[in-house]
Amino acid sequence: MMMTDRWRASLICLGVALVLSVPILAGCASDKGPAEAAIKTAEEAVRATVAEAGKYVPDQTQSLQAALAAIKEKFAKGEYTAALNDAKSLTDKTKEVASAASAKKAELTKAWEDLSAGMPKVLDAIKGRVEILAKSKKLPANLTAEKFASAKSGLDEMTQQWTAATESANSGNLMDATTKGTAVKTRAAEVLTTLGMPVPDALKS
Amino acid sequence: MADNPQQAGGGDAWDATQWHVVQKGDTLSKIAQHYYGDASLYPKIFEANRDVLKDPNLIRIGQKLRIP
Repeated sequence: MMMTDRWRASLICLGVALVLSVPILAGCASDKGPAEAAIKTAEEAVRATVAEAGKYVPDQTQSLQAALAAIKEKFAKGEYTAALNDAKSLTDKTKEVASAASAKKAELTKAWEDLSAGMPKVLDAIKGRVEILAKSKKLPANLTAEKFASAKSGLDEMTQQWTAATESANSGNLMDATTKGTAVKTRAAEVLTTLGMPVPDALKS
Repeated sequence: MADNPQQAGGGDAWDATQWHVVQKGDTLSKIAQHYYGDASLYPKIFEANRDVLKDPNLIRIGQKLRIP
């Protein structure tokens, strides 16, 4: 008799649980289609953004791709509601990343324009001085042979690096171009100082 | 001879030109000796300043010379 009551109680509990879970399961299952569509939309947005934005904000584009992978994983596990919400957020986030990339591109373009307009003049000035000093029978005071040798090798390095920076800019890689160009700028300030020449204001910042 | 480097005018932040303002007792040879360590290199300074110098032996106090 005792067992029968327990059995009955268990059945009632199970029934109640089933009744309560049906709407939940139905709700989850009803999100499957919208989640699928939202993921597709997010995936297209990520794909369209990553190619260009990856050149300017690579960390952010990697985050987008990681987020997309996580959403697909949730979908595969049947977590449709979560996948749907995350996919919608990712589409919005993709727009933010595209906007950040656009701003970074403008910043790098300006930086490269400044560098490419000014650095060749600085390198020419250094080259001119090195060529004259190479003909000197005795170096000026405060310029030892070692320092002059260092300045000459610095000029060679800068010339090569500047060529590489220009090639990067011509191929559209402004990030690499400005990184290399800025390194040349820093080295040029050192070489100018070594040679006893004035350092232009643009090289001091 | 004291260094008297000056930046070029015109506000070009990238201008690395070195200038020398001629002082009493200066000659192009002395200026070349100071900047290059070799007086015989004075023609380099003369050539760089042909727009203001007609004769390497004639320079005026206060004149601004480009030091290449």
